[in-house]
Amino acid sequence: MALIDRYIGEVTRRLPSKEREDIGRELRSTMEDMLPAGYSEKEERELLIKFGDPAVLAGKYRSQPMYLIGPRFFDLYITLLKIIIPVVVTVVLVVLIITTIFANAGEASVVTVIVRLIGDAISAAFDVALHVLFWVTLVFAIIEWVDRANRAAGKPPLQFPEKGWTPDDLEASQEMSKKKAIARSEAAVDLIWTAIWASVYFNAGKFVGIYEEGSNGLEMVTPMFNQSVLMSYWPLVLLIVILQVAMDLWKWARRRWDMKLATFNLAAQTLSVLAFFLIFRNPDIFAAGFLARLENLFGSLDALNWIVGGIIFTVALFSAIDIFQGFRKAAIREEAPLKGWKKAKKTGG
Amino acid sequence: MDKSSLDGWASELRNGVLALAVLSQLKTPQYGSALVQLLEHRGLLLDPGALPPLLRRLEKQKLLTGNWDKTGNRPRKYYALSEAGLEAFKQLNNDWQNVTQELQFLIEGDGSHGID
Repeated sequence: MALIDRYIGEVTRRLPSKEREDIGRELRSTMEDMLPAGYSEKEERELLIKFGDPAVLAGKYRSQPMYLIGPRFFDLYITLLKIIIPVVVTVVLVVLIITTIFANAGEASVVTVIVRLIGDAISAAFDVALHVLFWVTLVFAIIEWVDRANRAAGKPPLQFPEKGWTPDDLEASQEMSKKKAIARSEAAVDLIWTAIWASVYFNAGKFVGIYEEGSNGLEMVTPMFNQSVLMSYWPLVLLIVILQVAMDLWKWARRRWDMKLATFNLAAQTLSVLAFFLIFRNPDIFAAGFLARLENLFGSLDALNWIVGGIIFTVALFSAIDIFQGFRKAAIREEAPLKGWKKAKKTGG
Repeated sequence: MDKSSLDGWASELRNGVLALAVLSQLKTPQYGSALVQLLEHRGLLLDPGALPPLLRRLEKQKLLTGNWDKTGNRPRKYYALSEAGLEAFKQLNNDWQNVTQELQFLIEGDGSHGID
């Protein structure tokens, strides 16, 4: 008797309070009925073993499943985590590297900075991955909970995409020609590169210049640019940064070249070259101290004009190649696998 | 194939038909432990703990009616088919007959029958 009582208590305490009493009575009636009159403790034990773990039995009474994220959303959950965690970790690491460089420029030895950076990077990556995991899981658990309540109330279930799966969805994921494809890694590198040069631009005064061995290791003796002149171009540079980031994200999401993307690329690249040209054509862009040092070093400033001209030419050339490649890849016609097969069959037979 | 995976299929097979087995026995009122004993005797119920939750679910779905009989020294809850339960039983039974029939063809046939 005492054992059955405790067993039923173990089952019902796991159930909603309003159902406890009813279920307890039903279960007790069925279980006691299966024992002979005046049963021994041994017989009682055998019966309990047949009924098994009370937690499992309680689970069979629950209408709510015992999971956080169900099969309807699990696939999407994993897919999102696989995308979001690497992207966020990469961005955090890039930001960490850049800020470390600026914070320590000319102040500490390179080795200590690198050692500290590695430690910081590991802990930051771990930290941000945990954060993403937690928040994404929380959001999905809430979605699951809302969806469960909805379905219990007889409302239609949540679905991604909105109308449920149809064969049309296959088209978007159809295998694309390799020549048109943009690797995720390429888009990520572009994004990091954009972050790096934007950071360099906005911090050039603290960072870009001539370094010499001083009493505290390397010290910057003069910045390269006249920071106030350089910064006067900030609206233009900011516009280019925004365009570039938008394009990099577009590449990440779309993963292939098409005419729209190639045209966007044309606009962004042209604007970048134009800004580059405008900034370096300005005679006041270089800091006076920097020019004086160069003059000391080379005897005259003639070489500088050639160097700047060469850099502008190189940048323009590479941009032109990039623009051309974009349009070339966008123009590659996609052959549906079926058509290719038909063609092969025709020539073959 | 190892034994445990076979066990899984065997109990899954019985789980699928347990509701039908219960419905079939409730044209006249019956109480929980009697059902357990009957189904265990027939080898249809491997885990007696599965029955009380199933009875409760069927009662919640209004396929069964449940009435407590408190006249004996042990109170018992008698379950019986409701009208909807009888309807559900007929449908499930039809499905079951079709399934067993077709399955029998598949198991006994030599593969030359049916669609070519």
